[in-house]
Amino acid sequence: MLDKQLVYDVLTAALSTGGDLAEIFMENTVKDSITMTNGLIEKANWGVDYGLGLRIITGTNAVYAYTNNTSRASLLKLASDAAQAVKTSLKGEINIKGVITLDRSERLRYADTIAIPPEKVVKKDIVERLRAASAASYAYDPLITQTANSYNAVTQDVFIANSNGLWAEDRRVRTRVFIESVATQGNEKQTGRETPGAKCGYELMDKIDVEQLGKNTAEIAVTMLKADYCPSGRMPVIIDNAFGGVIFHEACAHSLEATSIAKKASVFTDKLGERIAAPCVNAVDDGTLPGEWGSLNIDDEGGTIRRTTLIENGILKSYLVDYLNGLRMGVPSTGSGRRESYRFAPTSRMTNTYILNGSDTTDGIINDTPYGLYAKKMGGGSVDPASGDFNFAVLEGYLIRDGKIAEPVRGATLIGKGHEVLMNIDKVADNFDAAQGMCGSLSGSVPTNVGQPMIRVKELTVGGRK
Amino acid sequence: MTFQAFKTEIFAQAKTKGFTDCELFQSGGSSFSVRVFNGEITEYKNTSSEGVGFRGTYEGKVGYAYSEIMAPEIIDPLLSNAAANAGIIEEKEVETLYPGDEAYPEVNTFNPGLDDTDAAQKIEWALEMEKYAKSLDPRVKIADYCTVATGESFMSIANSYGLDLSHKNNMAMAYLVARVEEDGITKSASDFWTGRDFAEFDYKKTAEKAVNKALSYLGASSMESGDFPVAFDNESTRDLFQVFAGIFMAENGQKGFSMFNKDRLGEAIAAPHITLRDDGVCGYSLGSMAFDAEGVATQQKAVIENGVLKTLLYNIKSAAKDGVKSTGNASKIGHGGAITTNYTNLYLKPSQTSFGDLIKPITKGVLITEMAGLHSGANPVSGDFSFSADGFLIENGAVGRPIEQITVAGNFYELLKNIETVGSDLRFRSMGNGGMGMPSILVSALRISGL
Repeated sequence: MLDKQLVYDVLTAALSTGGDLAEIFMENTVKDSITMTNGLIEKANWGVDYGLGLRIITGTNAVYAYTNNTSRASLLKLASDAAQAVKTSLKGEINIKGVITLDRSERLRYADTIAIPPEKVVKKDIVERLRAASAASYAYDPLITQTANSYNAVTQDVFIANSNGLWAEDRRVRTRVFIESVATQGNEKQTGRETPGAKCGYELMDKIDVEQLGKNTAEIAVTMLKADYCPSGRMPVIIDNAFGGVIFHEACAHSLEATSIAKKASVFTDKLGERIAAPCVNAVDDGTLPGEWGSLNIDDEGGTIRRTTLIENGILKSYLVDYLNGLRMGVPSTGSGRRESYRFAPTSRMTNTYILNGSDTTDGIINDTPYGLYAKKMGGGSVDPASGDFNFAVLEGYLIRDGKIAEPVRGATLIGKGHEVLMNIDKVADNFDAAQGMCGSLSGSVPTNVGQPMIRVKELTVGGRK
Repeated sequence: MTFQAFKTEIFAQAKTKGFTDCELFQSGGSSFSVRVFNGEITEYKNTSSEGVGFRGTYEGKVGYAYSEIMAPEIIDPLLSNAAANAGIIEEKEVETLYPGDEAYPEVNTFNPGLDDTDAAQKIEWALEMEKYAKSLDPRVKIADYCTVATGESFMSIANSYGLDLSHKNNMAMAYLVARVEEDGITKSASDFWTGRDFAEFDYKKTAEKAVNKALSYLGASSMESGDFPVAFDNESTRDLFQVFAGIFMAENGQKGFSMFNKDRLGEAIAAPHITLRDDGVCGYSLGSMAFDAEGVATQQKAVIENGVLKTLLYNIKSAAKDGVKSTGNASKIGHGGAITTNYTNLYLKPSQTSFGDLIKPITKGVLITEMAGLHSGANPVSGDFSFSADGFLIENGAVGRPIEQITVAGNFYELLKNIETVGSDLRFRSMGNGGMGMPSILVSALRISGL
């Protein structure tokens, strides 16, 4: 995206007052979105996000600057202003590096293999598919009063270079659809939602059945509309697969990010090699899975993507580490440096973060539970990494009575402390599945997969209105 | 290219391509922030960005496209995508561009003097704030986040009817998260300051508030489940209203995503002492606005007055659907967004009742000071909510021991009717354009789930 001489000059200007590493992250991102409300297309947008972020690391501190004026004059000014900040504020040692090595023969160039890139998609076809999903929702039950469906596609071209000789380019293409149904009775409304996405182009549509998804969301909304409020209190909770993995994402994996660990702000600080979960728990963060929503070819600081074992038989094996926090912790990056866009300095983030299959069966777990909550579909949640306190909503829930799935219940919230829940998982089934989400943190909102098989937590606080 | 040159060029090309009218919206800004950790500057950030959003009527429908590149070669893709996007719009009510109002309110949201404070001084304050926070009590371990920042933003709207408006705003901000530790238990709490004049900034106050709050949470435990009177402090009241503010937007009611619509105007929907205002120009806020994202002049208005629903919040399209005029509440998330609706400066009119008097009548109840899971725990359509919460017991009219690991659950529509008392302690949070401020409230009963 930038010529070599300009990259060289900008990095040189950035290090003119000292500093150990200078890094350029440049992107050109094209976004397409189409929104349908109640079966009619209401909004459509297209746009280009474009800009460059410059980071100078000195010691374990950083200066970050960005602009979307990428003219030579503007970038050189950006770099010299940032260098000035290094000198006056970070008290960097003046240690001008004579040579910035950009002549390394290997230039990394990645691009997803895309069958149908977003710019080749016929908008009318998107409209027809969204309409089919909406129609399937309405056809499911007369109680369905609203539908909301949308399509989003993103093509992000990034260029990353640094003064250690990194020169990498990557094209990331992602496509996602949102399918939502609302059921109404009197003043009561309930929502069902499915949001499949992948790191691919429009071929996603051949892998999903939008009509079936429309029907599924309608079924959830109607079931929950007829449900009574969830009883509150402490009880065993069975959390099913796919988006159920949000419990692990929120309650555990956020606290394994170096962002918290480097500051010793996490309950899992200094716990490597120790038991942090029940022996039946195995967990990984795997950004290498082809085509998965959270996957990457390289991370947002040019690091190699890998499969990181986080927990093995309950023992903590690794944190999720980006370059800068790695310096602070004295460990190498795990390829976890991510950012939403050039507007954010990268930090440690998840990719596809999963609890792996165990040896129990779904029937076995349910039959073994005399009374409890079965959280079939989870909503979103959040966590405070310092205390481990988490919360998340149950989108579709049922009570378990005498080892059988009984009546549906709504409005339940699960709260607890991440480290306690991990120790309290006593069953892990074998029906692993993944689901897509957008994860928000210091470096913005990035696509991540959550995933797990059905698990049971011995006891958890369930908040509800009864 | 400058905005003016880009505008002239794109308007000319749009006309030849068949757009019957068009608008160019520009937004951008610059910011400075410094974050310190353990006496060192851990992040120093200097940013500037801008972009343009194009909107134009093509074959009777409005299409959008935006770009952060302002160069001649982007004009063609902008126009062809906007035309294609217009082509698939199916809604009967169409967006229309606005020629402008005769007069706009005066606002002053820019202090040129804010720039006189140099980076070194802001760094100094951030370092001092962290140092001071740690000095306040041996149990303060770390300031997880300690930052001083300034920002400037601008926005312009110009259209082919000759509308040509612009606005700029600047602000300063300080924010501290204090982490305290006792007997292996960790608690954290934050406080912030926003202003337009550093003379009003006292880093000691911000540090003290965050630290005292965090310390007060030490020793927290859960409590028994049950229905209790619940007081929300001003910050958590604002969180609550932020989650459910969408129910007052007319477009949500029209699509069935809110229980409120024009048929309910005039109805008592809240306790009779409740007045909820949305003022474009607002003395409490740093974010006064003269015009909205469609170029309509903002207004001063009660949304709820003495418990009665007086108006919903409208943009041009939703107003046309209900046969009324826009209330100046069109909103756009920067140049990349489409027109939606938002509040300008929304606040519950404060009473004369101090916080102490607000909780005085409670024999046994709960004070909520922190809530989490605000988006996942709320159904913005039905009004149901269930949030993870922290706070304090209220016993015999006074604040008692800290509590944690509880959820507070209820329904926002019911809550509006069950607000027994509104406090006097309104606190505003402005974010550039617009903002929200709430006083503490006391709600007669909500479900608390704990042990």
